[in-house]
Amino acid sequence: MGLIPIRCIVPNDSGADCAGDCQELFSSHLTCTACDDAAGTCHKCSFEFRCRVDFDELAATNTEEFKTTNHIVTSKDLECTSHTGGQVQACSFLHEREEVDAHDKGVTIVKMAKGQKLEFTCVGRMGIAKEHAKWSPVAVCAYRFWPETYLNHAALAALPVKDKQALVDACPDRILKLDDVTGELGFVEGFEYLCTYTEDLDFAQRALKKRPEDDDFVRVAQGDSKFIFEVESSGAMDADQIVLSALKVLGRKLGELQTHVTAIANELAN
Amino acid sequence: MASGNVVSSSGLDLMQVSGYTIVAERLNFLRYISHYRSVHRGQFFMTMKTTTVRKLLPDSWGFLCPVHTPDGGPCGLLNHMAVMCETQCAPLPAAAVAKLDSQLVALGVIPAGAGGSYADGAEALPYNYLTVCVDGRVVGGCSVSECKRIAADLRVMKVNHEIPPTTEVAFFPPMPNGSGPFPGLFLSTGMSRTIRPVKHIESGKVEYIGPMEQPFMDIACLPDDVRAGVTTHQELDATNMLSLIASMTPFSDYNQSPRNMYQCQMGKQTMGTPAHALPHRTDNKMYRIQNPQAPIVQTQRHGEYNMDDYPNGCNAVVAVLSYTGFDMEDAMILNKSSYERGFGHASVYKTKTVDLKEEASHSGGGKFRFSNVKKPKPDADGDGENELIADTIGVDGLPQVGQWVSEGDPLYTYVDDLTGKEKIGRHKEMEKACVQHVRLLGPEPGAGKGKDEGLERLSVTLRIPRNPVIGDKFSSRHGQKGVMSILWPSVDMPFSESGISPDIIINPHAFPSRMTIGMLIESMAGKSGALHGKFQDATPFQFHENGDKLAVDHFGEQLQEAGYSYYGSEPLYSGVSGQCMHADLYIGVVLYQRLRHMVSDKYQVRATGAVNQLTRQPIKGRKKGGGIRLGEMERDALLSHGTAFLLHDRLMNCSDKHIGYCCGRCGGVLSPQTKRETTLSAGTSSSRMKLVMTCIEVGCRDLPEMVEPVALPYVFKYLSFELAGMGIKMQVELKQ
Repeated sequence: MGLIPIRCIVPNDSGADCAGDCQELFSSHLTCTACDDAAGTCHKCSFEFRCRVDFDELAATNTEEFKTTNHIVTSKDLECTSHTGGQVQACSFLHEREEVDAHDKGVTIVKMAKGQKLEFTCVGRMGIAKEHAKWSPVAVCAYRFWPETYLNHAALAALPVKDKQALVDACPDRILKLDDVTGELGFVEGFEYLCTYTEDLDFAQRALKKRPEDDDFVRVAQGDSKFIFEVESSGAMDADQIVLSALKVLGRKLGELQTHVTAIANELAN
Repeated sequence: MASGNVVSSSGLDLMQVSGYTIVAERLNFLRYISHYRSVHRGQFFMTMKTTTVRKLLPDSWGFLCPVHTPDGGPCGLLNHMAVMCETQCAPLPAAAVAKLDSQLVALGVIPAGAGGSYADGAEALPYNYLTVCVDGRVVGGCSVSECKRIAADLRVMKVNHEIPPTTEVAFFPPMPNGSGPFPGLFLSTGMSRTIRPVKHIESGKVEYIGPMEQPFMDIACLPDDVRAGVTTHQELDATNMLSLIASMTPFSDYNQSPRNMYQCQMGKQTMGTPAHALPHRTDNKMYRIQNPQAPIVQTQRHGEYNMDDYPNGCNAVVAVLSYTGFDMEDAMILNKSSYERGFGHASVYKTKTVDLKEEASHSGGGKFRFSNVKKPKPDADGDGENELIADTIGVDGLPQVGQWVSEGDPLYTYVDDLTGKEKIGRHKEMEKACVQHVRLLGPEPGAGKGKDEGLERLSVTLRIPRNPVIGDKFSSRHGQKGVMSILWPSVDMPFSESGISPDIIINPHAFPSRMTIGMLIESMAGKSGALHGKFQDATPFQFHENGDKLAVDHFGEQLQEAGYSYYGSEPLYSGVSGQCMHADLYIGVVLYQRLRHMVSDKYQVRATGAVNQLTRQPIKGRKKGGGIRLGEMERDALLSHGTAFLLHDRLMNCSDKHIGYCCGRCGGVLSPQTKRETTLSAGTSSSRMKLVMTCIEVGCRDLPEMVEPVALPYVFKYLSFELAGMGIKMQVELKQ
């Protein structure tokens, strides 16, 4: 149950609804000051899902065939009772738009058969993934560097086509290409997404150089100001919201660090 | 029957009295099934120095698995039958066996000897004729070439069911200079023979052969091995020589063979799915894995035997690299998020039966009954009537399903109807457990004798969660076991170009000396299978060295098709710095099993505790809170490290340190005694509070005291007692 992603609908920067950071709706269950009782559940740090599925009730409104199969209780049967208006909803692993195309039936909770009935209430709380992985909205996340490139046209012009082809073949990511007409060396389209910065190209052009100190023909290096982020969401947050809120959190933490550093510096100066 | 002991006064001329049956343990399905296929040569052979009995003979090929035997003591003595091997359990039809003699004669056997139904015992065979026997009974004989032909004809009759298809037709041709077994044609129809199917090439039908005929038959393994004119039979499948468990190992033909043996052992120790009717089972102890998966890489037998109904492990993304140092020496790093999402989660189910009748007889009679209601006090005005014995237990004296019990918590309560005494049964184990089931045993109230006897027997199943902790054992299916050394946060794990971070990191040193190439191939196959969304066939002997495609190429091409590196390696980024690591790293999907050896069952700790009465040294045993022996080799290690103080601490202070008294004059440790007070001095202030030791040795008795307290191990004193008992005095020289 803990691994079912839960979506919070909040307005994004342009005001449209999106599955965003639930910190805007809730405060952490560890630091919540609003709840007074020891159990620690209040509107500010938790919400409630209710689920009620009765096989026989469903069978009464369904076809005869339904009775002979088993019914799957999924995350779609969870209904938020504390925050109405669809603000909080259990979802499956897909984005809302994709759900329709994929005929997604939600995350399976339990299968039930004739005569069975399931009724329960569950409490959801806000936490962070450092505490438990169930709170992580990220399924897969990777970043890579946007390449900084340089083509030494003067040196390349003096290079025979055979050697240029050798350079093209040397790169395992196949980021280089030879123009069929002009015979000029260039980068393939979208090479930025293919680069893995292997050393093969360096080795290959070292062999082609007349002297080791000559300039490189091609240089592909990791840039330090531009990155490619790939994020796959678990369904709890929109992927773009994950990146944005991650940056927001980073900004906030750096700000905090800065104030503390200045405070300490001031203290030392006095 | 249950104990496996033979109860007889004569011993029945058997070589051992115990071990004739074994309990089919349901630890997991593999163990369960292997208990039905195991063959033990006998306890006597375990003590034998010679290894001949342990060797795998050509007769056993295809009958006993060459891989599935334990290493160490029982190696080669405890075997397991190959998958296709059967035993002749029922006698063959008597009419068919009786007909055999006439069929043999019809084939050209000259009737002779006393055994055959045709012979009168008078006729003798020519010296160059071979004997033909049925079940050890001489039927007749014929020449060598005739015998050979008859044997071949009998095989055709066998596959055509003209004679019983499980008859064994063993033709032993004469060997040069009379070497080899006694020549002849021997037919066996009896029971308790092992038989296995092979293909009879001539007819294309399946023939059942036995281990006696096998060494003299020409059976090809693969189609390439068939030699025209010589080969008569062919194996149905090259993997038929393996037992079921051995054939579960993927790509076992790529592994070093001892590793496959280890896997056969470890497969049987895996926490898996022992049974499906868990709510109805009352086994003493059951291990169960919570989130099992069907292996992505599986053999054909895995499907044939529906092993997915009893899944054993979990597919894990495994990276082979040296990272953080926590993967040294066969340790493995587990991704903390994988753990939190349920990797390796398991529980132990323990069922305990409480019989109050038995308990009553132990405590010397009484009429016990489960109840949690205290006897109302005579002077109470009714308020205390429903007072409970234990608050956490239900009124009926039984625990509540779903309730958690820690060590010492009440599990059930009962009262003695005769004395009115209230008693509490407690949870005795150290681990916290959840009450899973409570079963009331015995006749229904009111049934039977017509009077309500009250509930007297109870069965409680407790569930103890056993999620992975540091030190728990895991293994892949290639004899590569390791312990989890740390739960590493997902953010600090290395990640690939596509953002995948491994579930498990193992050290590359696990491979060079062990040569489990099968695991590397499984990793590639698992990765491509996961990418393409299909199960991969990992049956051994599918890829031949000279074949058109190697396993590496087969899976490499699939990986390339999915946009991954051909050889399964990828550049990984350090989880700490985000820098791309210099070498490409091998990362793929491998099935990991969780083994039942867990730290929670094995940890041992002691500060002080029980000691042996005689030596005053700590007792051994985890249950009793004993110590761990620091043996000779450990002593040597400490000495060589120059840590003599530590050694002294272990061997003396933490063991049997004793302050004894020793006489400086005579050197005796037994002779010093406390000085007795005289009637005059007793109770006077000068002698009070002061312990004076004197030596009672004849030579020291009247001289001034020279007794000194000395620290010594108590066993030393015990030794001098023992020596004194034999009339030897031990003298100790004291130096300041």
